Amino acid sequence: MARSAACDIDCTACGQYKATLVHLQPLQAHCKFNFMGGTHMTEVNPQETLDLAMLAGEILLENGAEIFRVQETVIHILEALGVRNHNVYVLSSGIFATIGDDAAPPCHAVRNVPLGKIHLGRITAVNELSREIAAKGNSVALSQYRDKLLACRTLPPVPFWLQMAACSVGCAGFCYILGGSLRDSIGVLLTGLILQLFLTLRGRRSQNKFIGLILGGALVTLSNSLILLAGLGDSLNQMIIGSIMPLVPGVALTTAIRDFFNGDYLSGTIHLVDALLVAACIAVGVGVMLAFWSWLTGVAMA
Amino acid sequence: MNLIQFIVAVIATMCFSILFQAPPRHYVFCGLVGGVGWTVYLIASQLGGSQALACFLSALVITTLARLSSVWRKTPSTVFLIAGIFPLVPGAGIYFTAYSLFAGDYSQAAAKGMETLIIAGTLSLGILFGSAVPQAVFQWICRLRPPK
Repeated sequence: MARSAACDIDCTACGQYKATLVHLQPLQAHCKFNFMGGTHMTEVNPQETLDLAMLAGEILLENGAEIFRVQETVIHILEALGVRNHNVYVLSSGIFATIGDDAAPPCHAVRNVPLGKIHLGRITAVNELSREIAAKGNSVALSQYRDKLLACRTLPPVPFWLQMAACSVGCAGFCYILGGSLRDSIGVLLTGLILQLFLTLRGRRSQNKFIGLILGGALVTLSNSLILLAGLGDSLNQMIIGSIMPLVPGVALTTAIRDFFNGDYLSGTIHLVDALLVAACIAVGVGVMLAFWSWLTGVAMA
Repeated sequence: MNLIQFIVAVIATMCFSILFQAPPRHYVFCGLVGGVGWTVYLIASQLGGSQALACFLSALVITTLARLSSVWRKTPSTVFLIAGIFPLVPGAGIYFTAYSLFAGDYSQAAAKGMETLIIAGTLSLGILFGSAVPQAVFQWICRLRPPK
C-alpha cells in the first residue's frame, strides 16, 4: 500500500487515493476520521489548489508586495490546503510553481506578472484571506476562496477627489521637508493637483509607462515654471523635487537593495533596472522642459 | 523647528499612504510611522551623525514601529513600512543622478549616484536588522492590546 511519510499509521481508506501529495492533509484527517468511524473527506483537485495559491501570489506581486512575502503566502496556502511537495519560485515579474512527486502526476503553473503600481489595500486583503485559508483549510470549497480572491483583486481605488487632494498636499509637504520654503510649497499644491489629474487621465488609456513618465516630468516642470512666473514660489529646483515625488522610484530602489539582501538577486536586478529607467525618463522630461523654458525666456537653466 | 518638520512629515506620509491605496483605517498609523522616522533622521543628522548612520537608525526605528503597528492592527507590516519609509527613500537623489547624467555633469552624477546607493543600502540594512527581531517580541509588547 502506498504510504506517505506524513501519514505514519495505516489507514483503510488510504488505499484508494490517487494522488499522494494533494491528499496528505485530508488523508491525516481521513485516518483520524476512519479510526473514529467518521466520514470520508471530499476529494480536492490538485490543479485547482495550485491555481488558487497562484492567484493569491499574482495579486500580491502585481500590487507591489515583497518577493519573500509572495513566496511565503503561496506556500502557506498550499500547505493549508494539504499540499506538502511544492516548489515555488517567485520573481518580481513572474511566479513559477510545481506541486507533486513520484507518487502523483505533478501539476505546474506559470504566471506572468508585469510590474505594477503599489496598492496596499489589496495586499492587506489577500493577507487576511490567506489567514482565513490557513485557519479553515479544506473545510471550505475552493471556489469560495477563489471568489473572495477575485474580489480582493478588484478592490476599488480611493475616490478621485481624495487622490487629487492627497497628491497635492503630499507633494507640498515633501517640498517643504526636503528644504523648500513655504511659498514653494504653496505653489506645489497646484502642481500636485495637475500631476494627479494627468496621472489619472493617462491611467485610463494604457500607454507605454515610460512615455507617461517623460510627459509627467515635463508637465511638472512647465507647471512649476508658470507658477514661479506668476510670482508664487522661490526656487524652481525645490518645487520640482517636491512635485516629482509621486513619480520617482525611491521605494523601487530600496526594494531592489532589499531583494539583494534577501538573496533574490534576479528580482533585485529587475527592480534596479526599472528604477534607473524610471528615473532617467523623469530626468529627460524635466531636462527637456527646463531647456525649452530657458530658451523661451532667455533665463539661464536652473 | 523639528516639531513643524514632524507634523509636515506626518501629513505628507499620510497623503502618500492614500496614493498607495492603504486601507483608510491605517492612514494615521502610516503617517505617524513616517513622521517619527523622519524626525529620527533629522535629530541623528543634527547630532552630527553621518547621512548613512542617520538613515540606518531611522530605518531601524521605522521597521520596529511598522512591525509593532502590524501586530497591533493585525495587518501586514508592508503597509506601514512602505508608507513610513517614503520620506527617507532617495527619490530626489536618483532623479538628480539621472539629471546630472543628461546635463553632462558626470562627476556630479557619480557623486549623487554613490550617495543615492549608500542611502538605499543603509535603509535596506536598517530594515533587515529591524526584521531580524523575533516576532514574539512584538507580540509580547502588544499583549495588552484591547480586543476588537
